[in-house]
Amino acid sequence: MSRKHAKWVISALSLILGLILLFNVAGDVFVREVAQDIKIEQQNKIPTEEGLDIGDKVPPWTLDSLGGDVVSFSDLLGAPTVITFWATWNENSTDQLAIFQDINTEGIFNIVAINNQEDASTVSNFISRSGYNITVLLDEAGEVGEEYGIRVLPVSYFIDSNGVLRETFVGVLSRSMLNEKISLLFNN
Amino acid sequence: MNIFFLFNNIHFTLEVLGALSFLIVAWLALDSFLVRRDFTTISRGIGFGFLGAWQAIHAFGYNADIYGYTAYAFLFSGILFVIWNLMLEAPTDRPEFKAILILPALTPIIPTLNGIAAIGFGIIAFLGYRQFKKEQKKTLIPFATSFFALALAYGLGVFYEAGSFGNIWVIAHLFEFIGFLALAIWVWQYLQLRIREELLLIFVAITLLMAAIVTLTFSTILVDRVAEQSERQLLTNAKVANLAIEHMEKEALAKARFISTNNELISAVAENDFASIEDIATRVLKMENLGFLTILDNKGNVLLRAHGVTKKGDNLATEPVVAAALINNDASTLGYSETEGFSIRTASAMNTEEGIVGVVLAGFQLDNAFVDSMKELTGLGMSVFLGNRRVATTNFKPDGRSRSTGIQITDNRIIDTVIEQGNSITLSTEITSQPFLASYLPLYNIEGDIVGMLSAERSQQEIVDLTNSTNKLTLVSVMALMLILITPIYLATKRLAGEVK
Repeated sequence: MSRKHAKWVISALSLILGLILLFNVAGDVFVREVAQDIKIEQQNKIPTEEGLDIGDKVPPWTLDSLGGDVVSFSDLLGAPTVITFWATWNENSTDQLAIFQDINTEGIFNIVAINNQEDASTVSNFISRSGYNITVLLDEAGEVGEEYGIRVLPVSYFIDSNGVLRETFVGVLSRSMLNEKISLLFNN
Repeated sequence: MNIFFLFNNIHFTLEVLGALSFLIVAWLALDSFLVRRDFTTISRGIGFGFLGAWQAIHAFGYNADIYGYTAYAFLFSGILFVIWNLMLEAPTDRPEFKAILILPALTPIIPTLNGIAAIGFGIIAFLGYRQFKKEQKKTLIPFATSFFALALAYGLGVFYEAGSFGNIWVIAHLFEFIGFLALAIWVWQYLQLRIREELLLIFVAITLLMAAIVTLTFSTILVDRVAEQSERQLLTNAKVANLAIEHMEKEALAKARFISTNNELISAVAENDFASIEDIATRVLKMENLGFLTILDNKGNVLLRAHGVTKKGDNLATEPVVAAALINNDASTLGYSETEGFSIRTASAMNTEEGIVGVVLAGFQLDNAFVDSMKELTGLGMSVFLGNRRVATTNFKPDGRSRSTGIQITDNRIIDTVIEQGNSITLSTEITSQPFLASYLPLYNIEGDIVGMLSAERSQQEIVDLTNSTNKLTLVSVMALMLILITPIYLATKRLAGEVK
């Protein structure tokens, strides 16, 4: 190999080395972020001694909506569904409603906010004051919440189009977290 | 002219100037490589080409991290090639440069990447200076100066965050400007020897300069207009929200009066019939769409909170509106309560022939739900302040999971104008370290004292993004046009150069 060629080879190698180092750095950041996410996920996983387990078929329910209609879980089948339990006294869960408000479901998935054990009047006043335009169902007796085994608010359940529970999340979901989890539901 | 936009535009121009300087050097090197065909020349071309590419990406900004990392890959490859080129030009006394290769793996964040780039530029400056000492080539002085200034600029880059225009930012960009200027002087020395390239580059540089000036002037005017319009819109929106509060205050008072004349309720209170009170109040709360409803006896003791938990023994007789209602003056105010938070509070007495039997306390919370509904109407961010503390806002923290409530306003201009003097103010201010355009209005209680503020906000970043996209679009079109124009001019200069010879 001539001297001229050797230089070209060395220059190409150095460039590759530089890029490898850089991607190493980038990769490190990426791995850290993913690890952080996994940590948050694990902190937010619900212990599954009672209530629903991942992979379970979600039990059917029928609840009144705030508008006066009757909504059954079976009506929601056929598209992925996010069910969040909330209450007006819990600021985190009302923040979750505000985040849902900005999300366009485009008719391809459902977001349902089930109010836990509050009067219809309290819920209706809150919703009319805030102007949130989302499907709110009333679980005044708390039966559905009990069946799901909820302990903290807000809590969200990600259910695929066949009615199988795929994931649970305790705490407020940001818009990007929600998008990520919904796209996972579609992949399932 | 807002300093934020000025800095944003200066940054953009400077980075474009830098890209231009680097690319001219690269082009010259490439041109001489076509004649010489040696590695030393092309390594300079590649090095400066990479630096030019980095500078161009840096100027136009990047949305995804992957482009950011690609840009940094260009920067470091560029630095490595330029160092290599200098070593090839002065082959003796090679310094150890293992350090450059080891450092990146230790440092995962951008300020540190800037630090490494600073070291790289420093090495280039040092090598350039040594070559000058050795060969007494005066043309190398601007070269060494240029990279020394760039090293300082990038070194300072470690200490500021992107988007914050502090003193360090200004100094760093001053150094960057000196760096690019010195580089331009250095490359000009070579250009003077080549009439064809000189003509061509004068044409390109002047076109770019003119395009940059025109683009930036227009974008400055545009931003000024947008900012001006935003300011007016912000004030209008704050006033709309204020009107809404006044309207809600009247509505709550009217409803409190109406409820206080409900005979069923009056007799239930007079008879201390708790079951009936609860039944009626819950029904009325829903029917009247109030935020909260509390029924009190004629001593101010809470009989029922229709909207929440009733604690035995709560007495609200000292609350101004309740005190007024207890002497038969219906009243409304804005105030803080532990149960309802900062809220619109109205009270009306329930009268029988024997006198006052109780008081209806009703109103609306000025909480996140309230600001969200205002945002739905006006499209702009809204906040409510109790004193100077933000108690409700539509703005979420960067994590997107919680609202940025609880922060205190520390900007004295706002405190002096709104809380002290009771006037409205529209200004650009920092909220949680982010620049915002915001309008503030005072909120009054029953005694006419200022109890809080209302604000409408718009992030300045939104406006800057608009400018940047306009700048990019215009400059990209100008560059495309230039590339088309350059072909006939290149041919013409070829002929001209031939004739001069």
